[in-house]
Amino acid sequence: MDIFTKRPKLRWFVPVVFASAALAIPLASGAIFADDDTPALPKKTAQELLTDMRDSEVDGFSGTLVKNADLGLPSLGGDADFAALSGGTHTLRVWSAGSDKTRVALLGELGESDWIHNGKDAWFWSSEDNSVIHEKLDASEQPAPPNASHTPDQAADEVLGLLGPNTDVATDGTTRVASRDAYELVVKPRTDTSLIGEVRIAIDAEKSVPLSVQMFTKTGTKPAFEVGFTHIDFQKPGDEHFRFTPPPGAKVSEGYDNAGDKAWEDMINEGTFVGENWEAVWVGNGANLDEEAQRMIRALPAANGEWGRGHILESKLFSVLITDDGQIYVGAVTPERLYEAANSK
Amino acid sequence: MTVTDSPSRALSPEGSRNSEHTACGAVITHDLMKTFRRSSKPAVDKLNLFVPRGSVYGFLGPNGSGKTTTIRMLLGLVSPDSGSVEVLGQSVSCRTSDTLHKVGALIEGPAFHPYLSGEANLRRLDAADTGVDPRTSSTRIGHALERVGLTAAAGKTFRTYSLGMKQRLGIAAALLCERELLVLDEPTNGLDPQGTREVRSLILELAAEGVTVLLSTHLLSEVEQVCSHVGVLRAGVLQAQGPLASLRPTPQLRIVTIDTVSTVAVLDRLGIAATVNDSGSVVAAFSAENPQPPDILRSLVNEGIAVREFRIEQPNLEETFIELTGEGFDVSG
Amino acid sequence: MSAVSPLALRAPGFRLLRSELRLIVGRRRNQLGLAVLLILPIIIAFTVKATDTSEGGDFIGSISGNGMFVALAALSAALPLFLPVAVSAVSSDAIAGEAHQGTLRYLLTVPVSRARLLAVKAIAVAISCAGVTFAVALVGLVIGWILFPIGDVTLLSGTQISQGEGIARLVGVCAYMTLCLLALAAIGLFFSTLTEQPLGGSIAVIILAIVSAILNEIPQLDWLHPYLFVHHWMVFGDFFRAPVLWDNLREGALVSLGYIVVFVSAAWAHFTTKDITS
Ligand SMILES: Nc1ncnc2c1ncn2[C@@H]1O[C@H](COP(=O)(O)OP(=O)(O)O)[C@@H](O)[C@H]1O
Ligand SMILES: [Mg+2]
Repeated sequence: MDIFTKRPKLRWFVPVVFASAALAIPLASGAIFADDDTPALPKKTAQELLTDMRDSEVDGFSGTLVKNADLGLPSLGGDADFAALSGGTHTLRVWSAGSDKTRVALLGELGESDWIHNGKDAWFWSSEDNSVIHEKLDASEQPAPPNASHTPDQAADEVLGLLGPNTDVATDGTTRVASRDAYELVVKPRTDTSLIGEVRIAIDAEKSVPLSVQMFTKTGTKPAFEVGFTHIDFQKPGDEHFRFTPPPGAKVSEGYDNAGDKAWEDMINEGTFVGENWEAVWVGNGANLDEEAQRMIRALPAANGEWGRGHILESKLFSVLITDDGQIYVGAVTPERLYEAANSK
Repeated sequence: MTVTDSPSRALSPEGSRNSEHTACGAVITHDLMKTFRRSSKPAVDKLNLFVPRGSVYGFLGPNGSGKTTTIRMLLGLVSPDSGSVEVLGQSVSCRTSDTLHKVGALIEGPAFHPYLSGEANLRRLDAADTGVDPRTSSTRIGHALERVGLTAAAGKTFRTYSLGMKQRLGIAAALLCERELLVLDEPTNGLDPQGTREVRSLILELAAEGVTVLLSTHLLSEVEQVCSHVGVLRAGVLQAQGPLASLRPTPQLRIVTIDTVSTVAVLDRLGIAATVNDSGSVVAAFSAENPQPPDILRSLVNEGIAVREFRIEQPNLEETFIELTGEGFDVSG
Repeated sequence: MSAVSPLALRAPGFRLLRSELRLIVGRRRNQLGLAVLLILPIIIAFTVKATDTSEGGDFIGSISGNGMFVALAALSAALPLFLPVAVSAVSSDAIAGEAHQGTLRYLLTVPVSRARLLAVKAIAVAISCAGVTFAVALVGLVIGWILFPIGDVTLLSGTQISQGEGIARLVGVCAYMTLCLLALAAIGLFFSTLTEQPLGGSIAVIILAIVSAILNEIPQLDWLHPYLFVHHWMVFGDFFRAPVLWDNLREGALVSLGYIVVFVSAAWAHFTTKDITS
């Protein structure tokens, strides 16, 4: 007879082998860097990568991406709401077929928020509220999804916009993102006042588009912010993904009429920048902030200096200073740099 | 006072394990050992069981002596630490399901699903059996129920059965199909005298049909009434084994006299080895080959010995049993 | 002995399996548990009807638009607790219940090989898991269609699919949930071989489910989360996105299969070698 009959206790090997085999299978589960492989790719300089990236062209793509923000701020709100994107982990699906066809879906547990841009229409759907917001667009108008820097593409654009004399740009070998070979570009600010230690951008070896962007602080070993694809397909998605009709029973409203959002928007647009690149500080007027915001500000630690008195919010990636006379200073910089900006005002 | 003419051969565990028997043993174990975890003493210790085919084997031992453990090992429920088991000519380790199919068993009391009827319980057991024809299922179940006298109560839920009815259903389960060996672990436990008698006659009936029966019991009377063979277990050790008759002890010659020395000498001349016991009596083992009692008595009288008392004692099985099992009916282990 | 009949050879396991299922279905306790589970969609449907809600997460808000969502709302309400409790009770009863009653020794001496008995028990438990999940969905569908409109189904993504495709996706949800529950059932089956107390095994399974649900909520242990079976339970909603998002479902199915393979084989390793002293 077989070995299991002669030595019955050897049967325990079967579950043990199964268990070790099961544990050896890596579970992607939303990890951007699922396998820590370093594929062999032809060498490229940082400059070549930047040029390739600028010249890259894809007709469209679809994919799933994950955003992790560990800013050291309390998380606010539910997970299927675009407003919640500021903290925690979020999964999004994106479809893109040219500049006038985009769909972004923020996935929540048994819920979903979709933003669809299809030609002259932009739709915003929330399954939780069972509501649709519709906006008619001019032909030339490029609407932005409800929250900026959704895709690695957009995040990379923002980072590359910061490149200047006080920046080191280098390549750092290869990696794999979303089961694709990629080069890694490392962008490092050369200034003491920036909170950002370095930004790593993974660039698809074939298509030269950013697959992931990770921002590290000066001290942390885990990224304070990252966005990257867990799955990407460079085939142009079909039209059915961008077609949207408000489902029966949904509350449909034409255009944003949220006064609060509008006030924010106006405030942001009226602000100015002090300093350049990594040291840039946005300055705005927060005198018109509502009571809710005022209460939150008062709960922050107090600060004072030559510039006067106020409250300071510190996170891993950015600082916010709100002076008692209503000025707001925001930047990916140390509080000292904000004080300096406030002093120079 | 009877003197049997059975051969008084020394009983030992090995006593009846002649090679000629091996061929016709329904159950044979070799040096079977089992020590339960968290237990220092073996439950079954170097057991060499031999149950001849066609016999009704009384597996006698006080509570906790290891009978059930042995039976579990015979049926493959418990694996022995060492030693081997052969049932109906096949060893447990490499036997097919055919072998156990020929064995009906009642182990440590009946156990059934309480909310199913007696009949439904038997149907479930029959459904588990791949070796039977499902078409004959109802017939066989009906037959088994009839044999144990449960036909009338077949439709009642098992929960409502009395202890005796439960025991009967257990036996019915053992009789669900044709068997060559029945292993019955204390089958009369909890039965009233009437039920006990019925079960015993059922066992004899089955034995008459040629079924080998291994009957575990702590009741000597049961062995005396139905068994042809007996094995006595004590704290996991087989004390004696063989045909029932062989277990009956040698009769004892007992002479009470003042003249013990001469008496021993006379007996010696007659070929009887005698000794003087603590109470001053002359005792000797007495067998059929010895001179007849009147002749012995005559010789003693002729020598001028004043015999106060002369008797041939037949110690009963119970005494032997107590002697073999030591503590008698106390629970061991 | 009489020769084994060809009929018996053709269907060796099915008689026992049928008997096993009859035993599970016939248990008063199981009937009661099933009744409680089946009342759930009815309660949800009537509550929504009475309060005329058209808001609320977990599919409840969608009910007034389409009765099919009663089934989904009931499933998502039952998934965290009721279904695991039911599954743990049935699975840990499989072997331990027979051991507790003493019927195990009689089944094994019939004889039934231990591996076959375990296989039949596992299949019966699997059928029960599937049965209970699909029954909740079916009752939800029926009561939903009686009380609410029928028609195209609005997905979480806001797009609509036909009623037929909606039902196909609902079947997908049930199948996925069954697989998730089978992971729990496999653990229950293993525990069932360890003990003679079915209730003990059942409590152990529930505690395990609760502990992993708690661990799944601790962000510091995010490396562990994908390996926890509960982590993948709620992704069944991905069936109701446009298009179906298979990634998480596939991973959840894979994890569940892993649990099933490991614990069923552990149950086999233990049950086929243990001493039956019950
Ligand atoms: N599962 C078990 N674990 C530990 N010891 C046991 C177990 N079953 C039986 N025993 C011990 O083994 C010995 C023999 O028991 P058993 O075979 O049931 O005796 P019998 O059937 O002759 O009354 C007893 O000492 C008992 O305590
Ligand atoms: Mg016993």
